[in-house]
Amino acid sequence: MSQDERVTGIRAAHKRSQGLRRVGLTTIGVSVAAAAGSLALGTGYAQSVPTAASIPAQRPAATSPTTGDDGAQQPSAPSADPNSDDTRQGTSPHTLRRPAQPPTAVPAQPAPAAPPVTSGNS
Amino acid sequence: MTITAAAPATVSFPALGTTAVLLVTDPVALDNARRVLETELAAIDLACSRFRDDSELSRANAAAGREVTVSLLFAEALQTAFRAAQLSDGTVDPTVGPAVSALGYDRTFAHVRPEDVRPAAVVRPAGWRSVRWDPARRRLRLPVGAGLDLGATAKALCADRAAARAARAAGCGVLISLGGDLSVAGEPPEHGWQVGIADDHAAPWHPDAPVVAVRDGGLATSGVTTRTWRRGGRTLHHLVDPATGDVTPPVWRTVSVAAASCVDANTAATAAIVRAEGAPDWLRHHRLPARLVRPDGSVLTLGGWPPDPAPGD
Repeated sequence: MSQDERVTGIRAAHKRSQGLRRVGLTTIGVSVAAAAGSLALGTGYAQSVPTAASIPAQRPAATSPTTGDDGAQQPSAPSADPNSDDTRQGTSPHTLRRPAQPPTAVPAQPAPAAPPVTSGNS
Repeated sequence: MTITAAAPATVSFPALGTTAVLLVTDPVALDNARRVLETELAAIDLACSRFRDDSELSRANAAAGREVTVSLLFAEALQTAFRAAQLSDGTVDPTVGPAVSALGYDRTFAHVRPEDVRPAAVVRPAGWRSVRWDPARRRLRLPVGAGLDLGATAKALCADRAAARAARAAGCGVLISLGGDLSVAGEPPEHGWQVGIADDHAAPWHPDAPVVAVRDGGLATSGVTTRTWRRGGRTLHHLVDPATGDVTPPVWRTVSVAAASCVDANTAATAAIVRAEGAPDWLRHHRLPARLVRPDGSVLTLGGWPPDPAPGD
């Protein structure tokens, strides 16, 4: 290989290297922009869609007999109005909760004279 | 569900298209507790009834496509409904309103035509995630064509609110049942509140029916054998699968669930009916005491719910 050919080869390799670097930088730029876009979209959806992110925690009742991680309160909850006393019992934003004591069996018995009746079609 | 306990004092009266039952451990406190209950019933009816033109829910539905600001109570009812939707994986969805109406339940149940040869339309709900809701500003916007039906959770919410407030006002144990959505608060009777489980509240009480004692939280029963009507040869009921807009298949005749609140019990009972064959695994996952009755009358109990007594016990 002549010296001219070697110089031409070195220049070509240098140009290839510069080209690859440009492509790489562009890719990184696009990735960053995409990530930022996803974050913005996600934030927008979190504010506009009623998901767990936007559903405030219910304040647990003081007499709540169960333990859990629902001590975290979100004061933006509509029910957390300072003029409104909390009336909810036993709810957690994260799960459906068991009663402190499950129902227990009661021996069969005759109905009282005039039993108050409710329906099971809730 | 039938309350069989001989409580110190009780009163029942029509409310929310069903029967409200109030029991208190101290008879002297009955009037106080009843006033609280009536106040709560009036408030929830005005906020959440889909059969009143002047309710907030009707106004919000009429304003679909536009943003509206709602009251604190309606916001709480919405939050409760969205939470139920989230925790039930969308099987208890507040946007089933148009689907339920299309099936024929478009007026108070007492006025629903029991039989019609024309088939009912099936309308797929918009889905709760399509609702735009800003809880901090209490701003709500429904998609055009969507409509809310908070019937699944608002009655249970009312029971929870009323029981807690009535117990505080009365200073004694209180049980409130609104058409099978039952909530207890305050100190219960020594042996708990005794509640009978039945398919239909209007049927005569059967002495062999199971009775359980409840001491805290809530109890709810959902079923497909009451509140039924017929359209085009099909028997329809009020529990709609949000995924299809059609009634759920009758895999379970009734599902009763006990939970830490009536809202949770109602959410789980309704979700179990909609989940059909998947209900037992889902209830086990949530560790909720439950009693499921198949159409043939056989019973499955889960999560510590006591087995039914043998006939004649």
